Amino acid sequence: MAKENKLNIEIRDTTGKSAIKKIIAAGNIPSIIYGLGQEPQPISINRLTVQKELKAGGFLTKIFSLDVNGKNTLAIPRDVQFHPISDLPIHIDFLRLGADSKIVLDIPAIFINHELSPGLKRGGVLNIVRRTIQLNCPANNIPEEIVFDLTGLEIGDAIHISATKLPEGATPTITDRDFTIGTVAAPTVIKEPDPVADDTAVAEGEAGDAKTEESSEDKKD
Amino acid sequence: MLQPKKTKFRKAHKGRVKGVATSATTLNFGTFGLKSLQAERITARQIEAARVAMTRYMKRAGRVWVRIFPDIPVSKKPTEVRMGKGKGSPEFWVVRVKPGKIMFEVDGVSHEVAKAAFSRAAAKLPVKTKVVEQLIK
Repeated sequence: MAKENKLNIEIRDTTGKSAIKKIIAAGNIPSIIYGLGQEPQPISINRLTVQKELKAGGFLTKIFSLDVNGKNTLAIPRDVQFHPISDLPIHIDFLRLGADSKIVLDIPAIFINHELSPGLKRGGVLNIVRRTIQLNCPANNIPEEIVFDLTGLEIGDAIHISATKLPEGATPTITDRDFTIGTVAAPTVIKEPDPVADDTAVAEGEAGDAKTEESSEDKKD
Repeated sequence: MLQPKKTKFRKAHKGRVKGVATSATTLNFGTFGLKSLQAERITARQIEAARVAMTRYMKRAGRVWVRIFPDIPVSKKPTEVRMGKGKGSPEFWVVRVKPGKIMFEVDGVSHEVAKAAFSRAAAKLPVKTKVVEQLIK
């Protein structure tokens, strides 16, 4: 089993809007644990603890040991909802894990050797097509990251999933093609607008409108 | 400047911008983004001015994505024209932005450069903004 992390949780018996409001006011985040054919269990977790874990990175690929009704339960975060304005976490889903479970996870893609890519040196930009790679992997062997080497890539080149060696037992969910992870793209080129042409167009438009209105006024008089 | 190639109707109702954004609230392309904190109509000119300010500061390094598109025509009556006699002619294009919407994304530059470029872009926009960064979850 991959490294387990302890996370203090509180069991909550109440659900619904008013109960959730109280939980949020107390500085906690409402969450739920489900899976393994058992009943879903609503819980709440301290907001600061969650924020610390989120900042540390790899939150969605970590296995947590949660104390549910005096019993240690292994669970993995499946989804984190964020507030659209404040970007604070507002809800977390946890999936219960068995000893020999196999799960589909989004593993972060990491790119190395930027300085050894002639395309990036010439001003190209690494256009990341997939920041995470969806893998079907056993719960006891979850990779922390998938590393891709950028050595020798020119502008216009692409890096595919076949460019790296996946950990044992892990297979990508997309199997029908050698999908792209990133490309080395040309940088954004500034297109200077032609100020003379723009001004003329606007002036013409205004003049035209004014003319129409004037003629209608004339008719009225 | 950005505007639709063709539209079904020439003129649109004024409308109101209410609520918070439900789409485009997370980064999808770049590592850094500029998020709106207010509801407002943003014109095609403002979007273009912000984009140019950013790309000029970044000196052609990196890449910029514009995630908003002005597809609502705003009409205006000419000066010194009496009220009535129908709706004015379309003058410019706007997009209704709600708080939480990511308007621009940037990649291929450092955190400092992205932040400075976004501050220049924010000065061209009529909304309060904040810079958001991609966290590998």
